[in-house]
Amino acid sequence: MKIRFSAFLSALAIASTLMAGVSFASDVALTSVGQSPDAMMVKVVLKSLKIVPDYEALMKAEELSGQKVLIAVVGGSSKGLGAAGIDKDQEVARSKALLEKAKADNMKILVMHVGGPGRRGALSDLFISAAVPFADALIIVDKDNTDMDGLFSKLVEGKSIEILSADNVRGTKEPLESVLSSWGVI
Amino acid sequence: MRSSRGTALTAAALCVAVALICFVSARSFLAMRLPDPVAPAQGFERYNLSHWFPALKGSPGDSDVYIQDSGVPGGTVFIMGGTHPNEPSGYMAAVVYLERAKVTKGRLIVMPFANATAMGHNSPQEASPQYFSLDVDGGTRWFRYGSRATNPVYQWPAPDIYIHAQSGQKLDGGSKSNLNRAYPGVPDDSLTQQVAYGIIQLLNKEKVDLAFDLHEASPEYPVVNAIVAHNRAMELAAMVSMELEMAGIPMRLEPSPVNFRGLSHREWGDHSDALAILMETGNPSQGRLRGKTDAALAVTGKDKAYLKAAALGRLFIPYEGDQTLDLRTARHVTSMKMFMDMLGDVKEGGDVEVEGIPSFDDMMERGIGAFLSPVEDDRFDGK
Ligand SMILES: [Zn+2]
Repeated sequence: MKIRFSAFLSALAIASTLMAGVSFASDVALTSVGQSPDAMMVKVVLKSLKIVPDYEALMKAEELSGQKVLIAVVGGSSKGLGAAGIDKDQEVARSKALLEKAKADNMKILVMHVGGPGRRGALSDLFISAAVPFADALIIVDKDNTDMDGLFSKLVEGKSIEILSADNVRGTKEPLESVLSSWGVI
Repeated sequence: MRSSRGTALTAAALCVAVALICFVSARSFLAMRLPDPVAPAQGFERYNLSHWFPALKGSPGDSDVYIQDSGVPGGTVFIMGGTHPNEPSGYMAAVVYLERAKVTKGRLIVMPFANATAMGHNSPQEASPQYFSLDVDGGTRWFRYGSRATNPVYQWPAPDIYIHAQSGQKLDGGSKSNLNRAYPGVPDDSLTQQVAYGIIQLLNKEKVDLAFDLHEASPEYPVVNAIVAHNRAMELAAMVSMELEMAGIPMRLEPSPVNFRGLSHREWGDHSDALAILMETGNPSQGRLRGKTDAALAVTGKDKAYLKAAALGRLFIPYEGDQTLDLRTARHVTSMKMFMDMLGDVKEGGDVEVEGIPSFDDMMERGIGAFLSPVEDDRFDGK
């Protein structure tokens, strides 16, 4: 009987987890800052957490519509910028306006860098410097190598922001889940 | 002192010698126009591109196309090698599928040597080898090392400027012979444009769900060890790219630029329902920094200038002294397998299941030759 009861409890726990997992699409907005395809990879990871974000690589400030969280995936791609038909300054301006609006709307902002040390350098660093100061949380893939020069650490200095690290893009699932559940969207 | 003045006899001997040299070199040169024999796996049926675009019938561009239908409903995958026949891992990956695949769900279409006439000659001033060989069980297989361009014998002269018919985009005249600038093609223009047109007809008439165009690039070129995806294919490509990273075979993901026209990853996706993917591996034998260019370089990728360049941080691939054809082909083969495995997740009813494809480690351990069958081939006899 005891066993049955605990089985019932765990079934209940599983069911409630599943139900909680089906979060509303509109809770999470996802964009790229720098137009690398890395944001698409984060979208795939979110899918594995059963979250379908409002994803727009070129999301504008006025397109925020009541979501609770904005995930900004930083990483520059000259190809991506070319494909979008914009230059790096326009991209910085768009991103800053979006992040400022999210802040003003009291949204939580998660900044992610998933491209590893290959997504550093002048172009990417421009976007990193623009976005990271807005972060309420920060997830970095291969943090030891990616933040070798301490750029990320410097940008969040003085704030109580923990930099979460993951081995690879897939591995961001865990920190992503813990950040989003602490913000109540999972 | 004996005079070395010529006589009628020495003149005749000289003429005979010249004729002999011409004969031998012409024979060797023309041998390049003979197709590479392949040994398709059971279940493949052979067609020609003219099956989808009859105007190509009997033309030198009427490339072979093989279809294996599992008989079980599912999606259709198209694998194309040989857009640029100086990029051997592209067509070798297609050949591995052609000779090994056992399709258990959906259909697989393989076009190993897309630009057939480009296989039949070398680019001038590149000193490329004419062919390379691989050891296979019970023999040797020969494959041609061709050119980036359609053979000028069939498409000449190049215009001063190549104007892409649909967009008006202007490129150098030589690009008119580049199959990967020709899409969506023109039915009544030059051979390259016709072949491109035929491929678009194939993609549409066969309702291809996922299509690959396999390439290689110089190790110093930024888009290498890379997947270039049409925007509709981006999510699937992101899934595969993450999976490859986990498997320790990273391929960087790049979006297909919307403003660069004529390329497969752009036009296939715009002119058919296929999810269009182009992939690049790093091939030192076509790079600008290479030294002696021979069959060994094509197969091993061993080159001391590239080692130097790697030390200077000038390359976009990890390079520790070589970049074997086995490795480059295994990258393509494994990446495509992952795409197929996940196709059903993004395209309902699009599942394609293929068995018999060697794993990345198998190909690295035993070489790709271990997965090819012996064939009759007397093209390059005496070599
Ligand atoms: Zn190519």
